[in-house]
Amino acid sequence: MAAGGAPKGEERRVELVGGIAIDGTPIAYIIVWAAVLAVLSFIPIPVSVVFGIGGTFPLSQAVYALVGFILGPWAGALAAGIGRLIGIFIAPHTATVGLPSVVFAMVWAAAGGILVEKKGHKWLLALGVFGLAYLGYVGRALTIDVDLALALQTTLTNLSGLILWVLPTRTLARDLIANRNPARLAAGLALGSWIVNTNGHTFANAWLYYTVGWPANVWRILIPVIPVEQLFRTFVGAVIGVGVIAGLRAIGLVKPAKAGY
Amino acid sequence: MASYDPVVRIENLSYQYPRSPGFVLRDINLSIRKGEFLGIIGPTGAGKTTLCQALNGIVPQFYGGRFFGHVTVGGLDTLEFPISILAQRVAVVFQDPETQLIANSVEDEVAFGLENVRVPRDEMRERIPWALEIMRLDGMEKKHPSELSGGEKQKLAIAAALALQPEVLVLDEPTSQLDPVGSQEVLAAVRELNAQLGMTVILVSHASEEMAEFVDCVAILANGEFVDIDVPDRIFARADLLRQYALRPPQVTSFYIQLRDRSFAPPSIPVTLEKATQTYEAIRTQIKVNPLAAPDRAAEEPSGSLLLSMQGVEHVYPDGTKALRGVSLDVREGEYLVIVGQNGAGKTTLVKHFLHLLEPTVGQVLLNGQDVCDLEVSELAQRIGFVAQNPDNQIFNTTVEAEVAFALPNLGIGRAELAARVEESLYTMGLADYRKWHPLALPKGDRARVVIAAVLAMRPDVLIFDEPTTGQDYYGAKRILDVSRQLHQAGKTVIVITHHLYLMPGYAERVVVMGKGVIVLDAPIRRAFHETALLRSTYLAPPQIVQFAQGIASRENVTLPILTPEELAACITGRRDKA
Repeated sequence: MAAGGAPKGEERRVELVGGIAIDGTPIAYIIVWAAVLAVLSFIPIPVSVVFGIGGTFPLSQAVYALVGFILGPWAGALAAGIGRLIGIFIAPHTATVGLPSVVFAMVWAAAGGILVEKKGHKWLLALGVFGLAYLGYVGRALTIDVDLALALQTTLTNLSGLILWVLPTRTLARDLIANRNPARLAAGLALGSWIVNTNGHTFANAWLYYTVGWPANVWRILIPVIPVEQLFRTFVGAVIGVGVIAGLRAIGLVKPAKAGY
Repeated sequence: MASYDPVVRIENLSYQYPRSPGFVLRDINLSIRKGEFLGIIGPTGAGKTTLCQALNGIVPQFYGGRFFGHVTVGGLDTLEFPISILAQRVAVVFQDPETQLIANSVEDEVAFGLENVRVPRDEMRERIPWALEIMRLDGMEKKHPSELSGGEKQKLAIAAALALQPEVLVLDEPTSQLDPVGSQEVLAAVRELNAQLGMTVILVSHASEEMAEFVDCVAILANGEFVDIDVPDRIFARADLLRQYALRPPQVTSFYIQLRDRSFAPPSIPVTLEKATQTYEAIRTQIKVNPLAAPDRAAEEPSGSLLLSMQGVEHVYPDGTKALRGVSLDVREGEYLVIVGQNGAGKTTLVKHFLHLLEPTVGQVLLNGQDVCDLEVSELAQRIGFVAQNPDNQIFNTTVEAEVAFALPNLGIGRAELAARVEESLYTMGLADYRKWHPLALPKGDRARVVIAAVLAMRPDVLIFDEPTTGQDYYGAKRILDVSRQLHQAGKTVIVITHHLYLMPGYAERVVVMGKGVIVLDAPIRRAFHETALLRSTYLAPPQIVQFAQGIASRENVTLPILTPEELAACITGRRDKA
């Protein structure tokens, strides 16, 4: 390290010149994350039990929120969408839902990006989308053979996501993710991932349930399954996230403009 | 010949990374003329890589941070033009080739840069084989870069840069993983391009001998500042200055400095082998060369009990590459063995068999008489510590301390013992002040030390170091080898793979020379280093001082099986002195 004293040269404004960026995120970052997500598509979520559909989901779901935290809403959505699209073709064994999963991935990652935004009101828009999705999901169940009590029990995890999105827990997660203390960062990633994953799950399930419409017996089995699945996604996202964000901070690459770390 | 137009102009450059506590570069001023071949030397962490990256705008455009002053390349300010434009003028070969290899085949890798700068297809068809031939990669066009050895990857990165025929070529330790003859060939080719095309070359290297032979001018960078810039003859003759900054002169220079200190007064201190020979002719009437007795062969035989044994091992990779061809090797307890050989000779493949990271296609590998294929990799890892060629492949924790401690709980080591071992390893490798740092925040040389510290903490019986001195400055390399010597003296078995032959005297006892998947020589170090013809057959060159001594031995008709400048200087007396 060089000795002290003021440098002789004039201080210059530092920015990425001419490089292609989306919403302040260099395109190279989006490509890298899309590649990571595509590769993660090969690994099925081990605790995932998909009743009524058959098949399984990709582990990339566990890091959609993280991609949003790191790249911001638009760039995160793009990276997740590209990664998922490639993943469908290279890892068909986890492509249970098919092309709609590209939209789910994008919404999921965009929610992550919105959660870490310090300004703006996109979170209200997201609340509206997830709220409507939740109503659609439960509403459709009530039109089949599911009663309200069972619907609420099964979707308690999803409901927790909506409530935590509205409460100051969303901003708490945002602040913890920005914290340099590794333990607080981990807590922030866990809380933030839970909020985003549960709402993303609600959005995806609203569509899935509309097309499949599984009966009350399946809803009962899902009561313990959904929280376990979400805990797994949250755990994986937080573990990967702590390592990745600590590494990004250490190597000092230029942060995307909308990054939350 | 360099023209007087500066192609690179650096004015009052100071730079601070986003989270570094101070400036990594400070008040750097430099003008590099078109066609100049500049060498930059300096200790690990001096700011050499940062300076290289400032030349094509990666610093600060990609890293951010605080940037003071101006850097212009070919008239373009590196803060005002995008990296993509700057890259058309400046090609950079990074220290770690893996960071810049992205294509699916060797030829695609070379083509990638050319496509980006829109070189016409016909010209690309000429340049790709041309660049691959210079780097001795012809015949590997269709291979995936991940199938190449570390040295071959480095050559591929250089080939891709050379194919661009840029205005400015920046080489950041480009030969650190290459075999000695390969290094010479690469730098000779670069020198030729420099002369023929007027390409400006900036070379960062710890290899003093190469610097002295190839560059026009050498700059010493230390603590982010230029200490001195001068021609190699003057820079390398300043032994005190070099020592102060953890640098070393070429071996022949070191020899003549020792003679000078003993009042033999050569007319000048030479820095290349050729000039050293000329200087010798000038002073040979004043000096007497006393022969050094050849060592007793019987005394050199290893005596410990058999620990590792490889019997007729062949290994064929899935792509059909035959990496080992009937290799048999015995390693005894307490030996210090060095394995050398050309890039792709099979050195790393060989040691991976000891750890059961690879299985022999034919043959058997035994540890204490037990087939390693019957042992779990985890069990082997407790007994054999392995420091891989690329430290980044072994790093995954968020602090240096956590990295060093990582494996210990799996060995059933309690908290107090764990803390003591971590502490000892951190101090041994000089990392105590960095314990809370993220390993990736350290320079590559220091990251290698983190991995070594982690392996030391496990206290295995056998330690295998694969190119442990790559990217280290002279004293950093010596520090690692000193640790290996301490371990050896404590009864451990040490196996080192290296291309840095000049570092091994005083450490290794036995040398195994590999070439194209076979062992071509297995001999004590003093004998092995003087088998010049055989070494050359596998693209190795003995250390410069050995080559110089052989010239003297032949001229004076004496035996000189020396290994170091000190040994050679000790053989020299004045004509009137008693031997």
